Amino acid sequence: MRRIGLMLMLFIVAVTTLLSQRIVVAVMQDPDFLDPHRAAASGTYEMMFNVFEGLLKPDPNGTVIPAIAESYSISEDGMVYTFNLRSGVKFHDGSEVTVDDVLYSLNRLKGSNGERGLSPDFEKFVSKIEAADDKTVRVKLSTLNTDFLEKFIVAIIPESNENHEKNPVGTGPFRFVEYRPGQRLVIEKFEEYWNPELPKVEEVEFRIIPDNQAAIMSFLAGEVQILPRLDAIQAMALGDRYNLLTAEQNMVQLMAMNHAVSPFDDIRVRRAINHAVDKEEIIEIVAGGYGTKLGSNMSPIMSAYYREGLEDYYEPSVEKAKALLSEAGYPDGFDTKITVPSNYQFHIDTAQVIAEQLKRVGIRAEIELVEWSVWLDRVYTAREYEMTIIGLTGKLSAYEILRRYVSDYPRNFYNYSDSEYDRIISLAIEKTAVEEKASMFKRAQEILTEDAAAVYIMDPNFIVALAPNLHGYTVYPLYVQDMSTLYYR
Amino acid sequence: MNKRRINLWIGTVLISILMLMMVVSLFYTPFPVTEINRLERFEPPSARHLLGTDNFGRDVLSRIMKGSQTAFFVGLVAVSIGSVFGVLIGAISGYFGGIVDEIIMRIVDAMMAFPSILLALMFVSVFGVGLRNTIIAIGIMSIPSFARITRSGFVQHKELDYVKNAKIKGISNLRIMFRHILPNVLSPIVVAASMGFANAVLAEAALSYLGLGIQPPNPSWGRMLSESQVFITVSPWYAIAPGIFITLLVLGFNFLGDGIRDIRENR
Amino acid sequence: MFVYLKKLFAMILTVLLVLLITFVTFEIIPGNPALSRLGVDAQESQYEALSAELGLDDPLGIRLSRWLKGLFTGDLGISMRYSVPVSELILDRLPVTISLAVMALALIILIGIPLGIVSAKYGERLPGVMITVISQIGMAIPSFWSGIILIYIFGILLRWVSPGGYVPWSEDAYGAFKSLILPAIAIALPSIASVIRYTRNSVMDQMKNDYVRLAMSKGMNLNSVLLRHVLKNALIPIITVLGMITANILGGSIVIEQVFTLPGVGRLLINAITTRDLPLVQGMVLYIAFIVVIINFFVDIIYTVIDPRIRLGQRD
Repeated sequence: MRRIGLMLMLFIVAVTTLLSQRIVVAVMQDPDFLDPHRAAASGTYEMMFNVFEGLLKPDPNGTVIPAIAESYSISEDGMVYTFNLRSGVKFHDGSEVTVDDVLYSLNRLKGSNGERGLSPDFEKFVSKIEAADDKTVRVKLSTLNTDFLEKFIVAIIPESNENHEKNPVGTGPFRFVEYRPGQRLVIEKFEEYWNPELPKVEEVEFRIIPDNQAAIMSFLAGEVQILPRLDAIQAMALGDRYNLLTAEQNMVQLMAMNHAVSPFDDIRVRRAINHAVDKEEIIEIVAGGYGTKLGSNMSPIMSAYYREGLEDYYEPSVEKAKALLSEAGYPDGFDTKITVPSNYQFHIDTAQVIAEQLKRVGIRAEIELVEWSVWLDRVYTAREYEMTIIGLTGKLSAYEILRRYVSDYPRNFYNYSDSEYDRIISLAIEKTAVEEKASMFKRAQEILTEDAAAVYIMDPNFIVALAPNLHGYTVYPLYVQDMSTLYYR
Repeated sequence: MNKRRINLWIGTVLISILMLMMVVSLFYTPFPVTEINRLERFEPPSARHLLGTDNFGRDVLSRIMKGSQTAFFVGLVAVSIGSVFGVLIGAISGYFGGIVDEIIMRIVDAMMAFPSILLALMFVSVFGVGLRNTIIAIGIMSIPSFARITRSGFVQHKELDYVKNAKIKGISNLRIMFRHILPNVLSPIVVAASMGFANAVLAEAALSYLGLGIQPPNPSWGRMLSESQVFITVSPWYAIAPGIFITLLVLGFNFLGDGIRDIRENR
Repeated sequence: MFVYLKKLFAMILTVLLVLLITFVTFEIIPGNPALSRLGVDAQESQYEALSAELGLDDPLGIRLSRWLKGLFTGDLGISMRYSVPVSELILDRLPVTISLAVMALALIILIGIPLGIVSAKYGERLPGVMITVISQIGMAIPSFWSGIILIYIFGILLRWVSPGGYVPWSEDAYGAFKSLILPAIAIALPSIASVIRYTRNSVMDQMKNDYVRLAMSKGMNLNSVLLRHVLKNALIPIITVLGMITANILGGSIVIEQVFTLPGVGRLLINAITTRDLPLVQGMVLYIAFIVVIINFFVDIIYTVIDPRIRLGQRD
């Protein structure tokens, strides 16, 4: 009997040791596509970031660093990008990355031989892609866009692969193993990764758990080792037993007001609402203090482009709000509706706090929950709403973040239109000098704030819970989970 | 003694207590139901807040009291819809028989075979979430059982002598159905109504749990349950209270239904 | 036999009706599978490309005929959200739902029926009343609440089982059992209560019959009478309710699967509706209808086994 007990113990130890080279991460949604050129959802990139790399890759500071390309240069006029490929980079199927694969990948995005490209930006801005020699690639732009460098993080995939969707092959530190819809996506260490020091663990499973509470339970039971995107209260509940990391997540949570609907077309009303909303109260109650107050559509983590000081432009003041409302012709306030997607409890809670705050100045806001699909259809597409609350995930490119407010942007669901804004944004991407570009983007943020284009609430801090023996987690200003640097101790 | 009536007693007592709470809540709750108080969040039960506070600092007891209004309202209206239409359909089907009966019963069977959540989900997707549509969806979900029970009763009774007599006398079908037969089949319907109330409360709780149903910040017990689940490790009382009250209300109506059935059987 | 065939035919008609309603509903309700899949981060041309690929832009007539054709060839189609065949998705989820059903049913039958019999035997006396009260409470507790409480007690406080995450039987049988036992209990609780009531009522009804008194006057003791004769006769309504319960569980206990995040058929259905994945929803509808037919068929067969006087298809 004792021998059985001993054997059992050894078995358990062996299994746990083997298992300890394995990490389970809780994620909230399924990938939309495994083919990296077709995937658009941030949730997909969160996971597949580990499988695919581009000529460049994002780094934790928000810039881009060389990956498949060893080095790169940009011409003086900003129209030509030259990349020198690193030697010895292998694809997951064992073949070496050649310049033909790079051409294949980039052309696939741009569109060639009469076929449409998979990336609208490549289609619009790139005129020619060619190989200068078998270690160098040159990309010529058709129109100047100084924010285009970030685009080269797109995946380089092998030309020989017949089905990128069923069999995703890339060059990243992990290789794709399996995907079971609604359940999990599994990746394993790629032994021949070009950086011999990475990755450190053997296998990663992204377990799809849309319910936050269930994810926490799994974590507490030791089933899941990483819990990204924790609620502040849950973080508090976990206490000191676990490692918690917080950082800004480069997300902008805002309450949008439909400029095409009265009374939100009146700037005084929009400003009144900005004065009525007490962002710090929201941060404390909804995010438990884990949030960074915002003043415009940019998070401070984008340090190069962030315009400081805007978050206090509209101080919370019931008197100011009421005065503006009276001026606009609403001395007794008015009735309105806040439409919120029902699957984001964070925004639902925010709506409840804001409704109370608006009550104090006489605005009676009813909260309307709609299913996500309905939100996408009604608010995002048809623009049938008065006010709504949503969070926009961060991008590396300030241009991509701010262009949502350009008048002819197809998804400008705010119905915001300002000619000076449009002008600045199109000018900004023509400026090659970083300071000039930055100052234009900063001015754009000022315009949004001065115009009270929306109520910019916060950048909800990114709280990650890690199992106690897990180390090496890196936070990115992007929706990604970098698994390569993690290790157990 | 009253042993036979014990079910009835327990049911009535439970429901009366909860109804009393509801009536009181129409005029008074210890604290405003939606007022947010950032300083008093997650307080455990105390003399000031008998059931503690929630994540917004709102008094849980006050929200439970207000929630009872929703529970009774949803139950009442949903059961009314279900019973009125269900009885109508069942009566027609049972009394007239034939192909009308076949068709109606097929549809009713189909509705019963289907997971009601699916129907409710689709309904709410088309017409939007919120109190009104939730009630309508639950009401529609309860039509089949009322229809079945009513039909059963009508099928039985239409062969009985008193009905045949009435027909011979030339009384119109409609009158026979609703003046003569219906009162006789009423008691299983009443029992079903009582159970239906309980089911409606549970259904609303489930729908709210799934994210449909009542809109915030109005408190519904089901919604409170789903919102509190996240905080269960921090403030378990917030998760326990709504569950207990739902159970009590459902129990009350189940006992009441049983009690009525007992009386009927022992007459 | 003829009655049975008529029923089958009626069921098929019903299924077709429901499928049609589903199609029409999806035409009406707001929401678009392409948009739902890509989210807010995609650009216009990406939405357009996916829309075209999924055939969403084709006129109503073409979509309708495509759907009808699929129906007749038995091709359930490709899921719009996951780009895999619908049948594959459903089959993938079946082991979970079936395992849950089997485990829950075992609990229900092994606990519910005996307790119901005991409760009937003691009638109005204390044990009988106690069991009745407990079963009343069991039926009144919302199942997702009991699920949450179970997770809290057994998953977090006691750490006996691991919540959230299904381990396939093929990988680790013990792990699979652990991950399914709590949800099975949560599903079973209200049904156990229900079965106790039905059993009690049915047995008590039977006990009023003359043959019971006759047997006892001949010297048989109560227990053997109960087990040998009464039970057989009392089983009919019990089997009916068990059939309904089974169909329900196999249809996917949506709420429980949500609470325990099990990759079962119920969650697949909810996902399909929220992502407006019409082929998947229709596949699920067919599956559920199929289950109901099969279960009803088995229930009918069991009736004839128990009481040969009843003919196939005859009920009520």
